[in-house]
Amino acid sequence: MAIDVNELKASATYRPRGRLYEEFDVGETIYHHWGRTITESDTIEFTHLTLSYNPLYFNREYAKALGHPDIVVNPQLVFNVILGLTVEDCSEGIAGPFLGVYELTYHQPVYPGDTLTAQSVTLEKRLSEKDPNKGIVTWHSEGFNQKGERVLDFKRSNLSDFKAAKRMREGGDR
Amino acid sequence: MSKLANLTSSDTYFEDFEVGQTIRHARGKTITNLENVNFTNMVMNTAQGHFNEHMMSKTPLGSVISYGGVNFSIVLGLASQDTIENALAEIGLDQIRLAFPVVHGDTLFAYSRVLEKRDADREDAGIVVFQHWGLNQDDKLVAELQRTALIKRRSHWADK
Repeated sequence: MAIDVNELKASATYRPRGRLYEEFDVGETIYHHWGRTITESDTIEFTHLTLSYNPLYFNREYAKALGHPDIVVNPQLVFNVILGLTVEDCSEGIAGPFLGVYELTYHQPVYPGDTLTAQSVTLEKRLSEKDPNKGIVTWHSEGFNQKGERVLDFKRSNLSDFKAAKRMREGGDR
Repeated sequence: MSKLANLTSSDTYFEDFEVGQTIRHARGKTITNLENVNFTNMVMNTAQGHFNEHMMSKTPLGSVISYGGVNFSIVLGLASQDTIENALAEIGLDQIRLAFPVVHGDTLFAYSRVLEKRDADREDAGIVVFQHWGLNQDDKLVAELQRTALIKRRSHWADK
């Protein structure tokens, strides 16, 4: 369909994604979208592109000899998938870098074919001591497999730049 | 299959680590689209600062910023063969700090120090806590973190 680009842009309503700092409530539980089934190719690719050389992550017979039913999914892939599932709800809209992760525990192994889901509790939000236009939000995030067993948990903090977040909420400069 | 002990190094058992021992790992790795954009998208991290060059070209950084989870996973990877090749399990991570932005074309290098060794609740393995640091090509500290792993004891595994 032929359309004038200026007309198209003028007629479109920007649909923002992500939350602002003021939209978090300490103590709330957030159930994150999507979930993700981890495939064998996911973990093999991740393990080799990160040079994670332990045969548990890429030699099925070795993993079986150590008591596992299959190769073990690289724990850092498990972390990154769970963090990825939290991004839209937690950090995407607040416009600031990922400051740190603390107290991360891998509770049990994940195997190819397992399906992971994520949830988080907002633990803390506070204004930056150095800059009143910035704040820090901290969440406790947990990842679960298809049996409801917790596979990992961690705490994560992100900075929020309030002005940048507001610009993004209003559609940026496109 | 070959004997298990033939598949991993003979000098990375629990007994081989000494508290305070500090290792400069042999390999570096350059961050490209294959690491940052690939894994950011594969794990459904929706933050477009990691994959929208047009948007990021207008920021002070001037280009997409590599996702911190990928950066520290590569630092851990670069350290893996020398630290957890003989691990039975990775137990956890802590004190993960992303100290400096990483952009495509930066090359990361890893250093590790043994912080702590202790017995585990099984005889055939012990627990080691490593501190890891990632530097870029200009020796800027880009990431630091600790990893705790359950590592085979030579006494139980060297002839398996």
